[in-house]
Amino acid sequence: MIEVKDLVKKFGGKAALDGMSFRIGTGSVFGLVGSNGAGKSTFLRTAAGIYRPDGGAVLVDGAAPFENSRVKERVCFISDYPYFPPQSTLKDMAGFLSKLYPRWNAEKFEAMNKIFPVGAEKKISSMSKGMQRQAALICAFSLRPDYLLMDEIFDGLDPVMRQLLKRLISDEVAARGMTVVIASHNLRELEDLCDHVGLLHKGGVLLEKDIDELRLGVCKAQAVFRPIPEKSAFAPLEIVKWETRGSLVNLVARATREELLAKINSLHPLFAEVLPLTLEEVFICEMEVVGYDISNILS
Amino acid sequence: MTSAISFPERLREARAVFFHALKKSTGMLTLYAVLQLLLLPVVVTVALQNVVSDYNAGFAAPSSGSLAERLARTYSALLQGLLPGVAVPMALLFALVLCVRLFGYLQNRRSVDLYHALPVGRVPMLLGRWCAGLAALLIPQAVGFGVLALVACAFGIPASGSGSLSAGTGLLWLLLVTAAAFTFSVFMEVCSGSTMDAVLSVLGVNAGYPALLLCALYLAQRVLPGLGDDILNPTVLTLFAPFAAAFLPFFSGLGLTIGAGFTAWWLCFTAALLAAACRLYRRRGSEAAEDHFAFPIPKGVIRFLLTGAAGLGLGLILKREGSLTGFLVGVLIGSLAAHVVVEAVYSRGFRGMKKSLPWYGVFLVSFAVFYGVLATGCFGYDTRVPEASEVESVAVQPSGSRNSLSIYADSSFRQTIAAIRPTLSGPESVRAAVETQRSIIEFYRSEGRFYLPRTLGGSPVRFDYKLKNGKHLKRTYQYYTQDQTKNDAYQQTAERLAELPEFIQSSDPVFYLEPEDLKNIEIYFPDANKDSGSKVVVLDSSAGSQLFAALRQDLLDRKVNDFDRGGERIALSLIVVFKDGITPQSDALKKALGGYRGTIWMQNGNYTFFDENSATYQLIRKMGWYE
Repeated sequence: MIEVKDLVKKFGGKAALDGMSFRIGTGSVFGLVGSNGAGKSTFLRTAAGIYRPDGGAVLVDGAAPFENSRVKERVCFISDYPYFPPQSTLKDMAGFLSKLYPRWNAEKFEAMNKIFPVGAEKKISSMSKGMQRQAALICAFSLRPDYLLMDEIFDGLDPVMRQLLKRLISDEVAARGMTVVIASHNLRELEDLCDHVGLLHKGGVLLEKDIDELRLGVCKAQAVFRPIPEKSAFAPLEIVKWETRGSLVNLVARATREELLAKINSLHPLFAEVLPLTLEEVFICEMEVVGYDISNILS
Repeated sequence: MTSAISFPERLREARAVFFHALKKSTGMLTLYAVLQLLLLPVVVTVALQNVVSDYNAGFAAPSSGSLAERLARTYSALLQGLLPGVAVPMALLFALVLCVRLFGYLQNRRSVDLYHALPVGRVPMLLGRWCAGLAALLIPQAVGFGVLALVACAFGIPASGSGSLSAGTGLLWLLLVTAAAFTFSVFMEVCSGSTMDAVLSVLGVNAGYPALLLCALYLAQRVLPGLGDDILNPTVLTLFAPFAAAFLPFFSGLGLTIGAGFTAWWLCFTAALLAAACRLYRRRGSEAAEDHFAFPIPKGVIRFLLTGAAGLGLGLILKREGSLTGFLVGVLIGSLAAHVVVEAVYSRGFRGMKKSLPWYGVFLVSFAVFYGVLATGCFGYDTRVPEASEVESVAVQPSGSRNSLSIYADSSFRQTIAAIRPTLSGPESVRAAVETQRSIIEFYRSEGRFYLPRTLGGSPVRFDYKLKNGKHLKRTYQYYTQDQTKNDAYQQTAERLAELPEFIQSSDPVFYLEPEDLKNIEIYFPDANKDSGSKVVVLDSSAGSQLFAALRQDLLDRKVNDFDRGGERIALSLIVVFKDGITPQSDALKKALGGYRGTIWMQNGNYTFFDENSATYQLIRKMGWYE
């Protein structure tokens, strides 16, 4: 488990992480979303033991990762633009990393090279951005980490590779209980992979929830009424969003699918249907409730 | 989970980093090794082979000695040239380049993400890379010098080399200084936030520290009466500048400055730098990469060094005799310009200039204190003269006299055993020395109580008192004023001590050696009909005794080398050549040599006579040695 307690990280006088607190459970796939400068990368680097916190703590299974090799052996961080030493090949990296990570698995390395056929003896610096990310993933999965921290990992990967990566992550999580933290500014990339999502804004966590819980608790519907009923007619359901266009009503309510459909039907619509909500729409609703304009946060 | 990582675990981490870094440095190691081999053993082999070929072809003059002697001489000369000219600059260049290659990752955010996320502590990371860098530097050096030794062996040159310099000593010094320079560069990498800042800092300290010290000492010598140039110790001048110190032994002979203290200092300094680098690296924020400085100390130090050096340097250039204005204007312009340039370079612009001005104020205050102390006599340093009763003896060098009489261990006159300084110990002589120093001080004091930077004039007058309490008091004066009358009066005072019989007896080799130590004499008489004529004469024991007696008499009568009468015709020039490998006999010489019991070499004595009534002139005429 990764436990974040009042975490503060400052650059100069500016706090990139400003008293952040939340938990990431073992075996979960945690999505960190937020705009540029929200603190996603800073958090990942702090959790990977690269940055020393200026206040509070980030604890990986109860231990701080900074200058702690035992923790770092179980954590793998892939930055938004992975670095490899000049002239290095994947084979070189394997030789180096295998000396440092006790869990390094040579068979896994071979297998990953087959899945991502970028060339183990090719200079990594001569590879494209996407291939370099694949090289980083090959190394990361071969380390067999308990915690895999990835920053904007989907950038530069083609749709096939994205799906492949998602499948690999899911397999590792299912097989070994690996915990995955993915930072992204794109909610849509995360919604079919993550089970938890945290929304960062200005160094703090605005919201952190189980995705299923989020989705199940909020529903979107559209219905045709003649005449249109008052919004209050939907009580006791909490209407989060209400839009009318002629006889058509679009609404988002805090209720289960069944509860919302039953309520609409009780008002005798000419037509009614409950639609699936994207994660982004759920977030928009949740954030608007707490008074934030999500379009500014995720822009 | 405990965070305490055991030593064996840290060692394993350092080992993994070491081998990885060494593997990544293989290219540089190979390049360095090839250059070492090409520029040292190969060059030496070709040069020595040329000597052999010339000898076999009969091209070499017979007077240049046997083949073995020529080879040894050539080998020694090559080392003297190749070590400071090739080996040291190459070692320093590779030390800097390897440091940038191995520690440049600290200055790049992407590489920091990789290396600082690895399960490796900061200290094992630094030490592993430091060891790899050292290995990549020292292995080629050891190989180069090893092959060099084999080449020397193949040509039959003694392993110890010739003269005071040997390949072994050169290698040891090179290894030490390379380690020091590399560690210094690593320290700067840890402190800096960009490679450019790190390299500038390395260069800044290595140029700024000696430059500031040199300027400060140069100024102090020109302001404070009595302060001599003997405090310009090159070892101190480069104490914190390994890149500059690397060349020191080659300028003054390895035997002189590569002493145990010097070696110990560089070993300790290197160790201290490494320890400091480890400590700072543990505290260094990863976010410092691509920032200006991880730790501001070097920037402040370098700014102060360069500001000071430029200020004092320009001040000394613009100084005018008897005025402080030019000097102060120079100090202000030079220091301000240097401050602005350094700040602009390190801050990549002028945004931080206003904030940095208090640091310029620190320099100005430091300068004001420094100059104030010098100009007011440095707490009585300027007027300190011991009472004659406190003095056991005083070594003096009156104006126009030589400082010491050197005694050598071999015919190459490179290895000095002792330097005999003319010393006065009789009460009258000591009193004369004390009075002379007081008179000299009066010349300075007559110009005011607040000293100005002045020009040094004439040859120095030195006093080195050995006090009865065991302490020494040293003063050196080089007074000069634009008032010629005053200058003449000073000159008379400054030369006064040279007339003392005790000074004369302790300053010339004929008072230390015996007639049997005489090899021959070369006599030069001006010839009215020809330009000149000369003759070499070998004297027997009796004739030698007579010559020594005559020379001693003329020296005491000040009839020798009396160049104040230089307008007159030279009556006689005499070169006294002493034997090789003299066994010391006189008590004065044995005392001067301390515990040395071997044979000695002394350079020829040169004597010029203007007076035909001198005893030596008369003796040579009488004995008919020139006829």
